Amino acid sequence: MQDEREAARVLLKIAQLLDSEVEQLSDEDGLGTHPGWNSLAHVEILATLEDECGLVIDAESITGMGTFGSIRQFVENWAHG
Amino acid sequence: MTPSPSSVDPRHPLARLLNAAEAHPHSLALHNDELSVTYEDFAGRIMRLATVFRRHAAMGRVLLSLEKGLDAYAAPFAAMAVRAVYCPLNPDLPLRRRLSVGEAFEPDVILTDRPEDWEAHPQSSRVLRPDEVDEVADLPEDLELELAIDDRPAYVIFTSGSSGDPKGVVIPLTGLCHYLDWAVPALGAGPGSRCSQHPNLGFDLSVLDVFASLCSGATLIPLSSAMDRMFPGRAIERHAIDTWVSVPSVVDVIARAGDLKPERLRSLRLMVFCGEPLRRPHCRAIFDNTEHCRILNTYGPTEATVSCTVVEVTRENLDDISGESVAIGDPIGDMSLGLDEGDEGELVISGPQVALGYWRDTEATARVFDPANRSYRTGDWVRRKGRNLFVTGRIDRQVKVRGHRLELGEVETRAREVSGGRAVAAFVRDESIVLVVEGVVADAAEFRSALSDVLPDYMLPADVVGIAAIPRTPNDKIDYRSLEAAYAR
Repeated sequence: MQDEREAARVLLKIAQLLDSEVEQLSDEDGLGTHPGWNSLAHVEILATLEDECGLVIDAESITGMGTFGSIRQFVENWAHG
Repeated sequence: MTPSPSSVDPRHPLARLLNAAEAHPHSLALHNDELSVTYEDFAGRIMRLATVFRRHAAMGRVLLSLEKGLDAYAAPFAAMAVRAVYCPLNPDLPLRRRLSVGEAFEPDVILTDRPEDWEAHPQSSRVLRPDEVDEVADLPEDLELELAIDDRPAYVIFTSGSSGDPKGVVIPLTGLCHYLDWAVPALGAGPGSRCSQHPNLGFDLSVLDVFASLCSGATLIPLSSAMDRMFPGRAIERHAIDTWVSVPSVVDVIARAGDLKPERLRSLRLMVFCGEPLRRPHCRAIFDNTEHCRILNTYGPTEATVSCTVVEVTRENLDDISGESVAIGDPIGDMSLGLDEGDEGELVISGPQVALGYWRDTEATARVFDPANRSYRTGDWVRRKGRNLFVTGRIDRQVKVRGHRLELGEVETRAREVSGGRAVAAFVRDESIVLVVEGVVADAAEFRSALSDVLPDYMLPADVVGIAAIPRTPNDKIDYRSLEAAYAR
């Protein structure tokens, strides 16, 4: 069963890709607004979400996962799903 | 619209294209999720655009600031049809920069998807949207095409100048044709092959994939969607691309997306790299994940028409031709290379691909071009080892830190090795070296100590910092200006 701990583990991984910590990231941080979050980092974030949570990478998810807030929500839904 | 044979040189880019269109009218010239254009229709569009250019810019200047659609590829040929010089300008550049290029180039016609951006531009230029072309153009009547090859300018590409003002590099038609004499057979594409179009059209590397593909009857696959650009490995699989052209760092992007695997790269037959140093791990990764893919490494500044050297990298010769990076290879065709100081020095390039100079800038031209010898001083520092040449850095990246002359490129090379192949960038801040490493740097002191085993003390960075992703320019090269600004005290 996936649970809160699983969600926390994935979010930690995302934060590490941004050379940051989960607590330091706000929901508004995202592609182009967070200093380390450029398109290359975004590629890695999407690939991680694909590996960990089965995200389908397409035009919609590339923009849909554009902020830490939307990623947090996606990961939490996945963990509780 | 058939050119009279007497005035046609078959090496002219448009003659090559028209030959391909005549031989394979129903083959696809352009193809991606949004575009599907046959050679017949592509040639028709060229003639339509040529009619408009003839009326408004014959022997004149055409500025092209277009998304990767039909006209972005057809318009350069159309400009050549009426002996106009064209300037491709990346539409994603900041507006101010685009306007400053427009001001410098003084085009007769601007073809753009975003005419509203050009409202501030002097009215002497006619601004056209692709969909307005049909209203302006008469039906393509018999257009007398004179496809002779001479030394008049074919295109002008603006690169960033050290002063901050864009510098226009003027490439003659003879130079472009000399380049295509190498490029078309080197890519070996033809009807049935599918060639990537990755670089933005304001970056001269795009001359390679666009012309070598369209002049040979192959299908050009413009990679323009966010999906294709961010996940190039999946684009290769999805579009069954067999011929790939890009800067080497795209291999890092493929790796970071987790796509360096045979099922993604199966269709590849050839990868051609240019624009920055190709490294041994890039080649290994490709060889390990493809069965029949050849690799060509090429080198050249915009001032010598895209690239002027080549070496084929094989599994067998990889170690022999690799130093800090893969050797740049041998000059192509009638080009030649010279070092001004024996086995190490600034590389000087001469031959027919050398640009005519910088657009309307005789002073800057005189500093680096020697018209008498048709040569250009590259500013690239090159070392000869055996029969291989290696670019070790830029002359302008040689710095003096506390009295020691050093090469920032060398600091980066050692740092890359110590980091296990990660992307790194070094620059000078307040008389000391800052090293930025992509990814997490868990222990900066330890990293520095590992570097001290391979670098003298005066070359050790005072600061080692991790960054999620090193900023890059629109041409995918390390953006040192942004880095320096980001880490300025």
